[in-house]
Amino acid sequence: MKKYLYPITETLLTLMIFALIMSALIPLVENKQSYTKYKAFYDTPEEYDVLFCGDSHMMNTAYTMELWKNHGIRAYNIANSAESMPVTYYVIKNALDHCDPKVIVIDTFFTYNNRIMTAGKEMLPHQYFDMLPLSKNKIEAVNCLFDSRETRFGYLFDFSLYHSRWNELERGDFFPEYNGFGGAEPLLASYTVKPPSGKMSKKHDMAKRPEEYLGKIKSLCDEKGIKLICVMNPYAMWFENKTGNVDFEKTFSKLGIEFIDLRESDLVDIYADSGDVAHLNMTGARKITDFYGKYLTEHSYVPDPAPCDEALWNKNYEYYIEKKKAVFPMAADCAGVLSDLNDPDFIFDLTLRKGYVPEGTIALMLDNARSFDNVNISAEGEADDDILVRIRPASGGDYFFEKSYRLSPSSL
Amino acid sequence: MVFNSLSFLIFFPTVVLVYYLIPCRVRYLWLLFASWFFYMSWNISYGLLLLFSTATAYFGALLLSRAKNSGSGKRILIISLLAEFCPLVFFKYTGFILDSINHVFEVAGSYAPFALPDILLPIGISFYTFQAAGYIIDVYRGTVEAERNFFRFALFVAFFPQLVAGPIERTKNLLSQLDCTARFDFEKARDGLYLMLWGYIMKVVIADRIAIFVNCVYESPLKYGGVYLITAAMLFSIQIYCDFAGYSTIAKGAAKILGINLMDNFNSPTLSISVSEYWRRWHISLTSWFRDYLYIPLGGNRKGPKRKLLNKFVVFTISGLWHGADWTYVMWGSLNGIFIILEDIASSALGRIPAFPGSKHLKLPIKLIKWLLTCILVDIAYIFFRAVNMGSAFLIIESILKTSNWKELTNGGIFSCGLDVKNFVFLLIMIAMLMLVDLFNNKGIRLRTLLAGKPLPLRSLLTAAAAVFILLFGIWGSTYDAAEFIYFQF
Repeated sequence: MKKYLYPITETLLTLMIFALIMSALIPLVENKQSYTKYKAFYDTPEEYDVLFCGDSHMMNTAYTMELWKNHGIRAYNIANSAESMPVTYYVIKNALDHCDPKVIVIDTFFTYNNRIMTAGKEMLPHQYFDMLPLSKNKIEAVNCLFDSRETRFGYLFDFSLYHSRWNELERGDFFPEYNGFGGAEPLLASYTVKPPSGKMSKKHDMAKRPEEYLGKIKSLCDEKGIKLICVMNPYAMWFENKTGNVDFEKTFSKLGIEFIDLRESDLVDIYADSGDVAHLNMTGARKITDFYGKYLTEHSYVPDPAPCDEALWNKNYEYYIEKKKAVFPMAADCAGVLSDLNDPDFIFDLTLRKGYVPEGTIALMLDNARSFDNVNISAEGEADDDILVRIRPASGGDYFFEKSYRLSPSSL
Repeated sequence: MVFNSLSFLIFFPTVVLVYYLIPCRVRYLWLLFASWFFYMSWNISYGLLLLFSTATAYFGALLLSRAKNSGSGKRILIISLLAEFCPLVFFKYTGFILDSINHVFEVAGSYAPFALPDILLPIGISFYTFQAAGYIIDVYRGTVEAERNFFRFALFVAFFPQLVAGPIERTKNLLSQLDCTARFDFEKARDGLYLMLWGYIMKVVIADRIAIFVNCVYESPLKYGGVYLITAAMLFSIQIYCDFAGYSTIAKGAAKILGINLMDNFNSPTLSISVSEYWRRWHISLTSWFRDYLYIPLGGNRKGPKRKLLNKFVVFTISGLWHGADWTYVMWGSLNGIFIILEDIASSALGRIPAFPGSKHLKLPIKLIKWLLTCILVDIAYIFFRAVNMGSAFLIIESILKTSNWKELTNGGIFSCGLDVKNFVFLLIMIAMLMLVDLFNNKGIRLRTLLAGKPLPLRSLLTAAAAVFILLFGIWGSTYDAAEFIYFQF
C-alpha cells in the first residue's frame, strides 16, 4: 500500500493545483459581456415576476429598473442581440430552470427570419450562454442550435474560445461589474428617420420555424402557468423591413398568444426617439417601458407579487443611477446626450447660445423636452458654442456631466 | 484524431488505464486494437492499407526467413519491397508523376495527355511503409528474426504514438519491447508526462503560433515585402522544428507512459554549426533509415570521394521526395545535398591550411559565424519546402534579395500578419526558451530529470502550471484554425 501512497499523493496534488488555477483563470479570461448582463439575474433569480425576452429590440427597450421604481414590477430583461426564435426558446427554457416568473414578454422582430442562426452571428448567443451554468437544458440547447462540434464545444466549455484573450485583459476582467440596467442595454444616440415611403402590406404568413418555436414557447409557458405576451416594439424603419409584410395577427391568434403591435403606435415620437435604424433611444425606451408597466398593471398580470427584498432593489436602483451617469460621456454627440432628456433621475440644464436656432432632431428633442419637469432650457448663453449641457442628479448634488457643443449642420 | 484534440485527451487516458488493468499477456492486443482505432478514426478505409502493409511485411519476412539458405532470398526481398512500396507510390506519387509528364508535353507544345486523379493521401503512410520496409530488410540481412506472432507484428507497424508522424522505429528497438509488458512504473510515467507537456508546448504554443504569421505571409507572398518574407522564412524553420519535434516528443512521452521507449528523433538541431550536423540532429529516425538502407547499399563512402558525394546527393534528393510529392520538395532535398557536398569540399580544403598563432581565440566567433551560416542555408532551403510551387519560391527569394522595407520592423507593420505585439513578443520569449532548453539538452542536462528531483509540492505545482500554460497560451479551440501537424502530409 505504501508504494502506492506516493504516486497517488502526487497525482491528486497535481490535479488539485491544476483545478485551482483553472478555476481562477476561466472566469478571468472569459468575455465579460455575459457576466455584465446576467450576474444580477443569476444572483437573485427568485426576485423576478416578469421576463422580457427576444432580440435587441427588446434589449434596448425594457428598462426593468424603472419598471420597478415606477410600477413596482420586478422584471429582468434577458433579451439578446440578433436572437432568433429558436434561441429565444432555449433562453427562456434555461431561464425557467432558475426562476418562476408570472409573465414573459417577447419581442417578435426576428420572426421574419426562418434560420436557427443568422449567418455570421454564431458567436452572439455567447452573451447568454456563457453565464448559464452547465445543465441538461444547456446541453440540449447547444446541440440543437449549433451544427459544428467545435462551436458546440466552445459554448459548453468557453475557455476554449476565450483563452486567447490573455493578451487583451483589462481592469474590468479582474474586477468585473454588472451593468445595473436590469439586463437592458441603453442606447444613448439619435437617428433621424425618413418619412415612411409606403404602407404595411401584410403579404405573407410568418415563416415556419419561428412559428414552430413560438408554439413551443407557448406550450412551455402554459405548462408552468406563465402568461405569454408577444410584442413588436416600435422601430424606425419597420415599413421598409421584412416584418412589414408578415401577417402577425393571423399566427398569434392561431397560437392563442396575446400580441401587441407597437410599430404604428403614438407612444413614441419615432422622429426624435430612435437611437438608430432599428432601436429606440433612452427616451423612446423609457416611454415604452412605462407602457409595459401600465399594461401589466391594468391587466393585473402580476396580481399578487411575492414580497420583494426592498433593500436589495433600492440598492440596485442606486447602482443603476450610477451606471446611467457613466453612460453620458460615451454619447457620440449632443443629440446622443439629449436622447435621455426624459430621465427623472437627472436634471438637465441646457444653455443655448443667444441667437442660436435649433434645427432638425435637436429642435424636435428640445420641443418635446419643454413638457419635462427635469429639463431647464435657457437661451441666454454667451459662449461661442451652441449648446452647453449640464446634468446633475435629481436627488441633489453637483453636475456630474458638463459639455458644450458647437453644432455643425451634419450633427443635426 | 490528432494529439492536440479533445478526442485524444479522452482516448489516451482510457488506453493507459485499460492497458495497466488487463493481464500482461493480452496487453499487446489491447494496444493493437487502440492503434487501429486511432488510425481508422481519420478514415475507416485507411485500415485496409495499414493491414496490407502489415501483411506484406509479415509474410514477406516469413518467406525470407524460410529462404535463408536458398538462393531465392533476394527475389523475395525485391518482391516484398515492391509490394510494400506500391501503395505509397500509388497514393503519394501518381499525381506528381502524371503532372510532371503533362508538363513535359506542354513544354514541347503538345496537349497534356493525362487527367490528374484526385487521390487522397492516407495519413502516415510514408512512416509506416518505411518502418515495415526496414523490417523486411533487417530480416533479409539477418539482423533480426522474423516475428511469428502476426498481431504482435501488426502492433509494431501500427503502434499509435508513432504511427502517423514517427519516429520511424527500428525492429530491434520496438518489436522486442512489445514482447515484455512491464508493470506500471510511476517514475517512468511521470517522465513520459513531462515529455508530453514539453511536446505540447512546442507544438501548440510555439509552432501553431508561428503558423499564423507564416501562413499569412506565404498565402500572398507578393503582397508582402522582403522583411516579411525574411521573417517568415526564419520563423518557418522554427515552426517546422517545433511542429515535428513537438509531435515526436508527445509520441515518445505517450509511449513511455505505456512503458515503451521510442528512439530520439531530434537532438537540438537549432544549435548545428553545419548543414551536415543539422541533418544528424534532425529527424534522426529517417536520416538513419536512409543511411542504413540506401546510402550504405549505394556504396556509402567506400567507393571513393566522388561516388560518396554523388551518393549523398542522391540520398538527399530522395529524402526530399519522401517529404512531399512535388518538385519543391525535390529541390529542398537537392539543395540540402548540395550544401553538404560543398561543406565536404570546403572542410577538406580548409583542413589543409595549417593553424595560425592565436587561432584558438577565434574558436567562438568562428562557431557563431558557422551557426549563422547554417541557419541561413537551412532557411533558404525551407523556402522551397514551404512555397506552394517553384515559381513562388523563386519569387520569394527574388523579393528577399530586393528587400527595402526595413522600416516595417519598427513601424509596427510586421504585427499586421495575425500576431499582435504581445503575441509576437511572447513568441520571441518562447523561441529564446526553446534555444535554452536545446542548449541544456546539448550539454546533457535534462530539465525534466532536474524537475523529478525536486520536492513533491514544487513538482506538482510546476506540472500543473505547465498544463495550464499550454491551455492558456496554446493556439487551440474555436478561434483556432485547427492547423494539422505539418508532417501528416508526408
